[in-house]
Amino acid sequence: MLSVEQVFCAACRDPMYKNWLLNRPYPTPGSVEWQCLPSLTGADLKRAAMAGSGDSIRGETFYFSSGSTGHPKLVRIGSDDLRRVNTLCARFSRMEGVGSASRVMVLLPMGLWATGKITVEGHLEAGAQVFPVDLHGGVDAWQRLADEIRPTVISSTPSVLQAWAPHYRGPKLELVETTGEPLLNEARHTIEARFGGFVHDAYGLSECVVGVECAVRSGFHYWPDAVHVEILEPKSDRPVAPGADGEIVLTSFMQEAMPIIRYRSSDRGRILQKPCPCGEDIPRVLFEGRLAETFFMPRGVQVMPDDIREELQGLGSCCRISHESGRETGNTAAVLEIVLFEATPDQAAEARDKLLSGFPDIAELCHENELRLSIFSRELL
Amino acid sequence: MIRACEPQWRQTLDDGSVGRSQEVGGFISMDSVKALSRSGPYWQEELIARLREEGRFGKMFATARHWDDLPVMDSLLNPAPSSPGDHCASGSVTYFTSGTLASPKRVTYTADDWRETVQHRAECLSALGIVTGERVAVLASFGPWFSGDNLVEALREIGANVLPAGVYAPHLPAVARLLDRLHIRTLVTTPSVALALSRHIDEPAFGRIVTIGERAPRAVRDLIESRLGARPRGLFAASEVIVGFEVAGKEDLYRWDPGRLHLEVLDGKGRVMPEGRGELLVTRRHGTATPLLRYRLGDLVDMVNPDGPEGPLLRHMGRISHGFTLASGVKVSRADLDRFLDDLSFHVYQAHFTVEHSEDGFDRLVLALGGDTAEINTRETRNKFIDLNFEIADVISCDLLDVEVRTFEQQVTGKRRIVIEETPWAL
Repeated sequence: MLSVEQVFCAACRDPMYKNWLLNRPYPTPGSVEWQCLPSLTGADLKRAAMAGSGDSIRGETFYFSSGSTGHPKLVRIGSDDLRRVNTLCARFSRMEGVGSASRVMVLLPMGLWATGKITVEGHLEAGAQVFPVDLHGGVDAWQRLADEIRPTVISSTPSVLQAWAPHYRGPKLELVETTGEPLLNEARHTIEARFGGFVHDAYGLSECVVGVECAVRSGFHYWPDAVHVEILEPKSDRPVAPGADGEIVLTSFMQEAMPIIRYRSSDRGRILQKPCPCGEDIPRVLFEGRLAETFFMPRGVQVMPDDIREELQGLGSCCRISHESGRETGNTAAVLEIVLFEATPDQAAEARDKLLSGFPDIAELCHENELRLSIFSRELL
Repeated sequence: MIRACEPQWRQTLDDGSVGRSQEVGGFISMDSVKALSRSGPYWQEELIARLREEGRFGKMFATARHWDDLPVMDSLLNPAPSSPGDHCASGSVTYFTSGTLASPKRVTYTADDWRETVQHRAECLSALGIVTGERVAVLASFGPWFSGDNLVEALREIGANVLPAGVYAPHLPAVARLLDRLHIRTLVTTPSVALALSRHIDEPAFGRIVTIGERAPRAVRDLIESRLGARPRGLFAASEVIVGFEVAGKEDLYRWDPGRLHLEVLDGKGRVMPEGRGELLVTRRHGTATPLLRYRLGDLVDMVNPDGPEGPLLRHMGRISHGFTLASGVKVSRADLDRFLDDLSFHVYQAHFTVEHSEDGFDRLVLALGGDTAEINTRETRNKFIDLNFEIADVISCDLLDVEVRTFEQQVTGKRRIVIEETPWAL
């Protein structure tokens, strides 16, 4: 993993941190000086993507995180960064009990998004036999590949596994790994009942991988040499009292190509104070929900309505956005409904094109009949 | 001088002169020379001996002592694990490649095999002109298919900065916007996907296009060049092996590396020959998880001019036993089509497979089946065709292929007739 010195040296070269006044000696995480540092937001990352990166490190990969492609939030990961992230993911695997006897089907997006790649590599580093599988094709394709692979472990998102659960016809698993979206207890029980494996949830963002559940499943264990976790007040850079909840703020000691220092996750949580009954002496963070308004869509897709508003700016005077999950609608497909006020039907059509070209994840859900997108215009009388 | 063919290699190496470097188009031959000298003149026997000693392959190599004893391989040497938790495959990654649902081909890579493949591909991409710091988008299939991941790693090996864009038609408008935002001017993709992407590109501003997965006819190259701004050059590779790169200015002519591969051809008389025209037989010298020895890749080639100044070359003539190729480079063989028709629950006396490649990179396949139309269930037929091969289902789900089944009344005939019509990009 990287030292504080290395992370800050990388930050000094990155225009994203040009206003941060980073001077030696660099502060130690958790120190008073550290707490005087500003924080980094998703909007900062979008601005950095639009402005172009700092000094390019050779062999970087660009991963799409969220936002729209009009204002994408991109994560740049260098080859060495990837190795460090993989090492952390391998620690997750080992804590769960994945090893050389495991056959792991990684059922996650494999192209534009980082999560599939790092999950594959982490399991490889843990010594497992790994089968990467993209999400295209839906339940039929997943089951056909599972029949062929005969995995002992499946790694995917809760919503993918929930969609698959009623149709899953084996094999019985030893473990199930979930990531990418909040895992509710009901979903955990459904997945365990249908897939037969003990569920371990992992927590992280494309920008910074964080931690994993042990067998006790009370919060996510994280490794302080890889990530520094703080809980700050949502509207300031001040830390909350020990054990209180607030916004989870992350510093990565894995990434140099795009340093992540005090990154506001928009997630609410708290650091657990008591030692974990599992006996691991590394700390735990408890995820308690999202701070920013977020639509949780099928296949782990999360979209913030503000990103949609930003993409549709100029089409009508304002818009009303609503979302219902498949369960709420009683249908298989979720619904995303957008009403554009003071807009013409042509503008509604344009809005549809913009959304589908701006949000690849929404385009995919619509194509696979997992999401019904309706856009209406309301003209001025 | 490096020779492509085994007798000449031996002669070269046996007399102790490992040769001098030939640098053609930036492709470093000296490494190959070193690899040859390291492995010695008897690498073939050593490879056979190593595989014979490995318990995984059972008696497969019990009788083979010499290279000439080896039969031609029709399928992968793939010791599929019989039970979960196969230890010999731990720390390995497995991809899938063309095959029927009953027996899809898996290609397993250990860390060493993967490294070898990445380096080989990186050398080819470098020879195609990609340099450190170049921004490159990879529009290729990722897991469970092999090419995307391997391409991304090979590009990173060169020091290029990569956007792993995948192949999924609904993503193409978003990918086009990302290419613009990130000022990416180099593409690695199939000819069909390059055409599909071009619909969303306003300016033909690309500086370099590397094509993979399928052979691009001249007219398609012209179209890609006019729409995207660069003339494509090919990388000849399959899930099982990287073969070589297209020589600049010489379309369909590929240079390959004898330090990594041993290529032969199966001629019209069924003889394995070191040169000439025939079906390409590939031996990967360094892969061990899924070894390839005299493996039929399914391509017709002409091994040309092994003594020429440009080193070992082959001319790609097309596919053998070829049915048709679908948009993302998926190849459907005549044997696949026979198997599909055989598996239907009704008898087909005549079958027409018409593939229309549009200029936009999308395909339409019309299956017209002749028989007793009252018996033919078009929905079931369509589903069975899609089930024929993982990759076909994947191309459809990626929205790059539409399949339609039609029927016509056909009287009983003594022999089933199959007609395959492929209209290349409606040009």
